[in-house]
Amino acid sequence: MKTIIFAAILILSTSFASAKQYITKTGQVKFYSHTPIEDIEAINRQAVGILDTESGSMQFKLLIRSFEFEKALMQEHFNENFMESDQYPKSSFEGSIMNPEEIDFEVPGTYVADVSGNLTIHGVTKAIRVKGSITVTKDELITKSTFKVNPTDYNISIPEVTRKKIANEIEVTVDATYTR
Amino acid sequence: MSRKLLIILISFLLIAGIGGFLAYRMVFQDAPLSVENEKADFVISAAALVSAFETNESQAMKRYGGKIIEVHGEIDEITIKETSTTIVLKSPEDLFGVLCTFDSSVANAGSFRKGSAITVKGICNGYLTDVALNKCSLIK
Repeated sequence: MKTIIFAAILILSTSFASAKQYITKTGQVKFYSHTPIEDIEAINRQAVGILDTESGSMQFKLLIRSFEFEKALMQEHFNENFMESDQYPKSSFEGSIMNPEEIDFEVPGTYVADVSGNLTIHGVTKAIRVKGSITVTKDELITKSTFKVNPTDYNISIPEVTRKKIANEIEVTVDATYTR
Repeated sequence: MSRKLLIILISFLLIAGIGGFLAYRMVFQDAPLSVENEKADFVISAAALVSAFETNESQAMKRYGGKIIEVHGEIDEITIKETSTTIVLKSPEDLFGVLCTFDSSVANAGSFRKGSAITVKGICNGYLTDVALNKCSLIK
């Protein structure tokens, strides 16, 4: 069902350019965990983003398995033990720009965006509100945001042995470029 | 004599074992995941892979998720970025294909042409708008 809705969105957005809906399949989502013992970083370069400049809605979807780590062993632990990515293969965000009057998608420049919506990770959905930026150029719309996520909010349990190596708050950076 | 030999033999095996284990960890687990020199778990066409996920996503995820897939198809889209190159292989579903992400270090990325046939090996991450593969390497 979700696929059909997604397909409908895709069809609509590609066939009616006037709908002002932009799609990327190569959005980047990074996360960073810092502890005195170890810094852990992972990057996902396959996030799908949909930005509707008319309604101000913003959506992201990604596959947990698409996160790439520096070490294969970390990636394995991440998928098998923490995120249970076979059971919860996806993560998503569905939200809206709360200050649309302050952003002009027709005038080049960088605008501050205040985005509110629902973030789903590990099967748990939470309301979040984050600040970000939207850069408008002649050919592109670039959306960026950095915010903190607490794994325990999403029922992600981290075993005692590795707890010292993983921060309580994970810094998430979203960077999506839409071609216009 | 035989006892001494046995001790030497056991310690030798022990050292070799530990050394082997450490080498294995260093090479395979402390390094980034790489599939370039690994054998594919499945060889399949882009159309068949998309159809498997379209028919039953959770079953396809169980079968292909995290596995090394060698997939062949026709290039439909190419996106070149600073850090990566992404191509989408066409499927009869038209809207959905197989998205393959290559690191920027991949040679030949510049030679990808829309409409040309290609065979790629990568890790299957699941299904969004497309079936997504990363850590891809070019087979032909």
